[in-house]
Amino acid sequence: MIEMTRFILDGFFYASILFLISSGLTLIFSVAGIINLAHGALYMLGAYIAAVLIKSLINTPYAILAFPIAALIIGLIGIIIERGFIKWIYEREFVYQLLLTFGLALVLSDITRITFGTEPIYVTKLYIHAGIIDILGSPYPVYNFIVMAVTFLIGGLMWFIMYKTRAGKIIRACALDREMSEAIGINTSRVFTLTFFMGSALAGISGALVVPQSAAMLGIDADALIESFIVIVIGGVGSIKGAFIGSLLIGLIRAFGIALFPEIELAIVYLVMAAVLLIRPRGLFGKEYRVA
Amino acid sequence: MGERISRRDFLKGLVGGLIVGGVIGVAGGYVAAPGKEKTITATKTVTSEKTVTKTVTAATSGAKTVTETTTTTVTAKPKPREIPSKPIKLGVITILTGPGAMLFDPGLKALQMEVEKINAQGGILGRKIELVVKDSGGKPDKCIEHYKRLVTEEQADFITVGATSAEACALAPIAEESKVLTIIQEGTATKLFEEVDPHPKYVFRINNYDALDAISHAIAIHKAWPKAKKFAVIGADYVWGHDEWNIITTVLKKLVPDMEIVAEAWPPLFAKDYSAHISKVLAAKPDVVELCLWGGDLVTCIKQGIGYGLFKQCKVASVTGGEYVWGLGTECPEGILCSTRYYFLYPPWDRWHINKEFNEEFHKRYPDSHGGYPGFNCNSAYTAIHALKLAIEKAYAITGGWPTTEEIIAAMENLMVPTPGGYRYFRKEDHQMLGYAVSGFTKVSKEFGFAILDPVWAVPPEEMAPPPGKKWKEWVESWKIE
Amino acid sequence: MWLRGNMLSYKTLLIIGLLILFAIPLLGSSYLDFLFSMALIYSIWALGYNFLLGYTGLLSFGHGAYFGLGAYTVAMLVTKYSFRPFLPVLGIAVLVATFFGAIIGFLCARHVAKYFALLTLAFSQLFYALTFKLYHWTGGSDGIVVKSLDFFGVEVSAIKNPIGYYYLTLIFFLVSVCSGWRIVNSPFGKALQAIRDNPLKAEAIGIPVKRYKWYAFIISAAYSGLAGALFAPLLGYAYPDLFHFSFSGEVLFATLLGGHRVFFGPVIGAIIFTIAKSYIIATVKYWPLVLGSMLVITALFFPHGIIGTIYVVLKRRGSKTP
Repeated sequence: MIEMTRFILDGFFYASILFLISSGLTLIFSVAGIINLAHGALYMLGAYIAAVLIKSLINTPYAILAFPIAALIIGLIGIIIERGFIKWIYEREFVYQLLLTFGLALVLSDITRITFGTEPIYVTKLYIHAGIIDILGSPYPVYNFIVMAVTFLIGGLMWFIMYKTRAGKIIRACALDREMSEAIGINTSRVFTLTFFMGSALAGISGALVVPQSAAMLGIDADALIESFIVIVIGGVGSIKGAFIGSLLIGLIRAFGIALFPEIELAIVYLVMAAVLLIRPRGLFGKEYRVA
Repeated sequence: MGERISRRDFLKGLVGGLIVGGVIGVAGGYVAAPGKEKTITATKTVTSEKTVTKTVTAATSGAKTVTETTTTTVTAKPKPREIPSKPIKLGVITILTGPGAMLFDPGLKALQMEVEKINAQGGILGRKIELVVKDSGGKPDKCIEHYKRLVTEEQADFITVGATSAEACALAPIAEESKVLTIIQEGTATKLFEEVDPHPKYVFRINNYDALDAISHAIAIHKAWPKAKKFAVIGADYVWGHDEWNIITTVLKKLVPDMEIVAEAWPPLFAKDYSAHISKVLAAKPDVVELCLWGGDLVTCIKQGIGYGLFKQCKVASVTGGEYVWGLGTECPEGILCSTRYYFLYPPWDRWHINKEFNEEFHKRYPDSHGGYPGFNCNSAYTAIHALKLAIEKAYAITGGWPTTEEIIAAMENLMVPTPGGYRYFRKEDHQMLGYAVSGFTKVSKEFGFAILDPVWAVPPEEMAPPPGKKWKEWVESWKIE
Repeated sequence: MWLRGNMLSYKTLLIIGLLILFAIPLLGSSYLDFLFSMALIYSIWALGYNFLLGYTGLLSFGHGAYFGLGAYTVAMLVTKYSFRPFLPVLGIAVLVATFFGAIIGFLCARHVAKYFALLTLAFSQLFYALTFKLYHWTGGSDGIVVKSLDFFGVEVSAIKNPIGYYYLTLIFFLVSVCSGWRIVNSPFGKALQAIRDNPLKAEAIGIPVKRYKWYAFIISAAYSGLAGALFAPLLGYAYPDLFHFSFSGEVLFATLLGGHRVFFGPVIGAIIFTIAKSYIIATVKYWPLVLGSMLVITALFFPHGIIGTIYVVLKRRGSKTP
């Protein structure tokens, strides 16, 4: 029983991380139609910025500000990327956005390396001082709960904004039909910029939240990118709900996979992907795309 | 393309080009025999020979006449090669980008520090050393490209490599073929000299390889906790993790015949989250949990382990943990048994001056790097350049001139090099250098700001290194345990 | 007048290019042989890749998979199973790559462009994970050494005989270019272009769109497999990074650098890319920055690639003549 709760919690926690990481990519993809290959690099940069901030502010109560600051900075970088580079290729063939964002990813990750060095930045105090809580007799770190709570909050916020506010309606309209939205007077380029800001900020904050419980180091950009892609493939293109459910699915299956079939962890995510693709090729909640 | 060229024209052009080009190409290929650019001449020193012939002639009168004819053939001894005045070009292939960079960047810094020191003292036999640094990013194709370029276009005299196991194994055959002395600082695959290049000529390796780490660590575990019987592992799910665990358990089985493996968890390399793995392992209630992880993975796992009470419930060990725990600062749990290939506090600074000087210089120059003190990559870098220097000087003492690559190789075999980590020596048979493995329990040190190993002890190579030519498994199996 | 001049110069360019390629071993050291062998291998890969991208309009972001399959098949046959005859080994490698190309192509080709890209990427990463995981068989992250092959008694080793191996690669390069040209100019090739330009119209005039997309994928995988199969002995090593998406990005860039709307674009692009990349990583400390910037600049300002841009410029000039 103890183990069962443990594993379920572990599953939820991993799902939270996955959702956080992939939500930014999904948002940008579903609204602006851009596969942002620089997403992983933004995530990594957010992690490093947060790590440095936390380390320097750790003995003050301001350390918690590291997270929103990191998110903000990365969000601003997202705006720069969109206005400076992406906007030129919206109308062009799909291949150019891949090339462009791939190039930006290389540039960003090298800038990160040049700025912060090649060695990992570890932040230990925050995680440990968050404390340990007792769940049915076995210890569980409080920080994990914090992350899960934040994820829920962010997910809820996204849903609320998208479906319950006028701004969200406008964003969804742009996603569905850019020309039509322009015709009825929506400033679509501003909407896209806003989306990029939000998506990048999500990448930044997910990097920041992951740092206290792991580390800011080189190479996490590629891993984050792959994981985001797999979540999108499983959850379905253009669907935030899909990303949420997909993350949950992967998180839980993985947790039980580790417990029962240890050898399978590396392959499990791909197995789930293969299963979903065979049963429902466009992903769990994928929308049929116009001819892209 | 504009006016589309017709297929006929295309073929015409192609065939024409083929014929003309083919003629030139075949002729050229015939002329330029493979591997022609770098010819190494070995100098043979011939000394003068003296032949003494004694002829005894018996004269008819009965008196003996002894004629002594001495024929002296003097072959002029060729002059020893002059020491060139231009600097020694040392090519350095290492990893400066990507996740592997955290391991090799400090090593490069240490190398640069030592080279500057040697150059300040006049260089090697008066020749300064010039470093040409290339970054392979951990990819074998780039590594090989850099190597070929260094050896042909940039005329490097020697190459030193700090790279992944894959790169080292990929490079070895090419290094042998290029006939350039290649010192692999780090490239720890056991199979390098066991399978890939079993009779190396031009390739030498500095660091203790993976099997040695595992064997010495298992010996240390048994020494630390002789009563432990139930073992579990959280290991990185790739070749290294599995191989190390395999070796550790084989040795433990030999030392503790009734041991059992109660749980295994294999997170992928560079995983962020070890919660499920820790949970799984804890559920099996082991005596000792081995963390077969390195770098950020180890730090993350330990950090999360604290959150799950791992360190209160069982003993924990880590096969290469010695310096990675520095990342945890003062939050590191105490009592973790860590092993490493070189530990900055061993041999103690008050006894072994080389270690003291190396650490103090490194700390003064790079206080922000890697905890501020040198790790095993730094020791390998030191060893590489000093081994080269010693070998060249030794060969010079024998030949009286600037030695050829073959002469340096001969000097390097069985060479004993004083390094910060103690004395190390190259084996002649497989060009593998051996040094102590160091193990100890973590203990937080306010002075250093991170966890040091205290108490610490060394396992000498004689106890943990299979003899050359023998695979580790058969050697371990042949141990006699009372 | 302009017509004739253009055709003449085009043929001349071809011949000059071929002469240079044949004369490479005379122009430099074994490093140049190695470099150009690599360049030609990348050209074969890019050529195959462009069947999908330039001619069918499908962007695959996981083509390292078939390259890697070709390389690993050669490595395993030669080193693990000691099966060394050159042509059969190459043939089996191409078959293996084609086989998986057929399966994955079938699963992916029916999807729309962006999803297609993600799927191909996901499958490539699956191979990466499997190679890593099944290390007892594949050598895992340590990779597999590729020993020399045997061609009717003659040892084929790029390490011992770089010039010989270069000419071998050159022959396969020429075969690929010629066969590629024929495919592209065949009715099938024209059908692919029709699919690229307007899939609905193509369907309407009776072209089996999904099936042809699948065929294009298979052909593309075959060429990639050949490239990978030649790559493994050149390096003497096969390793999992070939399956990683960052490696797939290289062929994408090489193709676009040359120009994906022109037949010779990817070929020339791959050669230029290989040489430029080799120079940059050897001399520049911040090479990912430089390489990344090149990609950005190409995407923004040279969408037609080098050859494509030349072609566009020539065409504009040509249209000025009365």
